[in-house]
Amino acid sequence: MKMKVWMLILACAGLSLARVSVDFDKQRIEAGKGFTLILSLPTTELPPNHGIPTLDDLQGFTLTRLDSSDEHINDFFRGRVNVRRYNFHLIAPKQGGSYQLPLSWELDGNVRSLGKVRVDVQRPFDASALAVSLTPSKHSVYEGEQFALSMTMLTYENFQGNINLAGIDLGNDFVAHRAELKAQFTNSSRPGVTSEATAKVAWLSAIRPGKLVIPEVKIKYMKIGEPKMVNKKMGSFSFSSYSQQPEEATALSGRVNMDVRPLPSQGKPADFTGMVGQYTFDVQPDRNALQIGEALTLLVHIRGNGKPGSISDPKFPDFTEFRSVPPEAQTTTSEVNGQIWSDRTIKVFLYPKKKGEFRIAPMHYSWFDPNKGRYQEASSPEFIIQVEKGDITQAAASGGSSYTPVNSVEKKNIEALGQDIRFIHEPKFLHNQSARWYRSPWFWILLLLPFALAWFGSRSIARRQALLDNAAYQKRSKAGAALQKVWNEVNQASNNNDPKAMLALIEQGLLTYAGALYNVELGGLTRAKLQETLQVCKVNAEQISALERILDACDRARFCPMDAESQETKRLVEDAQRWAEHLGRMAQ
Amino acid sequence: MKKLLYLVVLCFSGFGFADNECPLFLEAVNYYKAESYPAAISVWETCVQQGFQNADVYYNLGNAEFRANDLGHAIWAYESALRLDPTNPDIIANLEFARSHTVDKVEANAEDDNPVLKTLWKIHHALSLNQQLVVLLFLAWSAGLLWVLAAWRNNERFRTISYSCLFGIAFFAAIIGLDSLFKAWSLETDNIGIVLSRSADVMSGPGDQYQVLHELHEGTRVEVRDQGEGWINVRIGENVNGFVKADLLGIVK
Repeated sequence: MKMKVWMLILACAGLSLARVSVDFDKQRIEAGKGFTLILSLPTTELPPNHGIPTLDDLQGFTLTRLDSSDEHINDFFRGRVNVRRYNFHLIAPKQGGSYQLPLSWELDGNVRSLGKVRVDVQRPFDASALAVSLTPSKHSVYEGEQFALSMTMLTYENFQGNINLAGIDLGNDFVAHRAELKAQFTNSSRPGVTSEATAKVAWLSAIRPGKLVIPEVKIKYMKIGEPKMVNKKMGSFSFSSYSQQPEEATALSGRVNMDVRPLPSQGKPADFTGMVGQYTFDVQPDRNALQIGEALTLLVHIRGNGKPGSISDPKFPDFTEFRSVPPEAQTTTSEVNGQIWSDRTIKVFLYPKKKGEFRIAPMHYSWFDPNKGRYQEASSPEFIIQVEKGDITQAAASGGSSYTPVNSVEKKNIEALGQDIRFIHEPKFLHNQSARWYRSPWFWILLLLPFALAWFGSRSIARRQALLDNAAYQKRSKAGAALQKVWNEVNQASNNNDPKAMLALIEQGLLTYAGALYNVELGGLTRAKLQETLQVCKVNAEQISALERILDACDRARFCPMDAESQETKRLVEDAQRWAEHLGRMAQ
Repeated sequence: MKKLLYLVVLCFSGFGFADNECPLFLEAVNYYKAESYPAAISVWETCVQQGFQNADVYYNLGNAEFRANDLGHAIWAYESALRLDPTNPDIIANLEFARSHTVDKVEANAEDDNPVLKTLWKIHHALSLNQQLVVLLFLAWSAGLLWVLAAWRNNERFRTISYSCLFGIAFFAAIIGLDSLFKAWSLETDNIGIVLSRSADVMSGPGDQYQVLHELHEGTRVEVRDQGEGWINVRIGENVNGFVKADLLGIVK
């Protein structure tokens, strides 16, 4: 904002020719900051007998220094002019506003008034634009007594808006009922303050006695920021301008000290509810006569202006003649005459167990009245309830008979009565049932083991089945038995003294056996082909030559008849058997 | 069939699982018969405190507590017994009888009135969790055996019958397995508490400075939602929700 330069041209009778001008060194004079008030006068118009100009009433300004100088200035009308300049070095007061500073000067022996210089002191941009303060309705209260907390907000010229009241924390020493903050700002007559508003923040109640503190409250808002020079460039042309952006700021209220007094111990009722304030207490049953199976509703209503939003329940009498469900309770609050009144309605549902006349004992409710400074108590009357016998099934459902412990332990009597607990158990074996098997790895092993076993079992069965389906395998598996049969027939032929048949059987048996073991046909092959085939089957050379020796011996014997009982024949048979045995081992 | 299952459960208890003892059980039975209820309570309570969990011990403890006019502890013991043996008619009867003496009348659950849910609930509780696990083991071994037999007997007709049986076993095992899973989950997550003192205040927060919302009486069953330091967050249906001092409640584990 461009600061106006105030010029005073004071025409006084004795100073008709003098032309005094007033100027400031700054365009904007900010509260608490220094500036210079410059008083200028052409030296030609200054009387020879003159004193020093003075500021008669500083009004909060601080004059730090006054100096003077003679200077040459270029006047538009008069050309080059010599002027006397007086510099008043001042510090502006902390309070902003418009001030009129009276100026006087001693000239020719007379003190002449030069009039008043108007100085507009503005709030610095770095100063807060919002001031917040908290005010309790009482500074000294009883523990649990309700008091209101108001907030006053003052805005200054650099305030822009956007007050954010969220996140107000009132500490842990108080039960608080927050008010719906509706602050209406109005123009303020206070110096420097543009507008102000006052609103209730909350209703509080201290939860303990002592010197308690309501902590400071933080409020966020937006204020006008300091102008900043911005250089801009448009093509080859550059220029600078001032830019002013809003800034977020936080206002802090001061702390509030509270003196919380403890409740007096004198006259304190035994069943004191802890409530402090003014209370009313009322108890009403919805009916005085009912049948078994029906419910009686006892309506308890408590209203008071103590701890906001919270009311303790009264001590209920013993309802042993009735069964009851957990009571239903509802607490509501309302603002009446600047206070928070809490209403608590409790519905106690009672189901009579048997017919007859029952009494609901009086109920009491006590509280401390801070205005009277003493404890108060209200009581309900005694209620007499008539219960008639109702529907038998309903009666049974609601728990039939009253509880009378039966000391007899004769099981049959108890069960016949059907109105007592069943007899104790006497098991022969007791085992610990605490184990949760699903947590044990043993259980999971036992559960999964059959599947693993079944999988392996079925696989081995399938493999075996596949082998059984294989012809080569079949031949091979039966080779041993077939050879044994051959040896039996050889023995038979030997017994019959038929060496030819015996040798033929040996030759055929060995070839058939070897063929079955390696799944090849060896019968009818030449020796060379036989040798080649056995080599392919990876029968070692020693075995092949041994076979050839046996076959040669058989051939020779066939053309040179010999005795079946001779040593030579027996050795041949033994060689053939040993060879077959060795081949069988090799083939495995 | 159930006796056989008990026998199997008994065998499993001795194999691989920890087993404590309650050596003075029968002595306590004699105390009970002689109407020395505190002595019987002391013996059975010692067994329970030493980690011996048995439905009969809890049941007898409940009876002794009931005789000693301690309704809260009696209901707690019956509830504990029912967890271990949910179908025992004696436990159910005594628990219902004890509950009829409580002051607070807790609204019945919806499933108590619905015949379908009631039947399902009965089926659900027909066997205990450990019994169901034994049945699962039996089914698993049967399935394994049938699988091997089907592979062994190279007969198409036998194989078809075997696979049909395997499908039936798998279906049955799935139902029991899911039910067991539900039971195990309930066992791990559902906690109930029983009011042990004559009365217990339900507060709006875990501290004496909070508002008293309700007053519960001895033997009332509450759902335990959370356990903090000295305070337990409890609930009864939609009506009661608050905090009760931990020493006034007995937790059924």
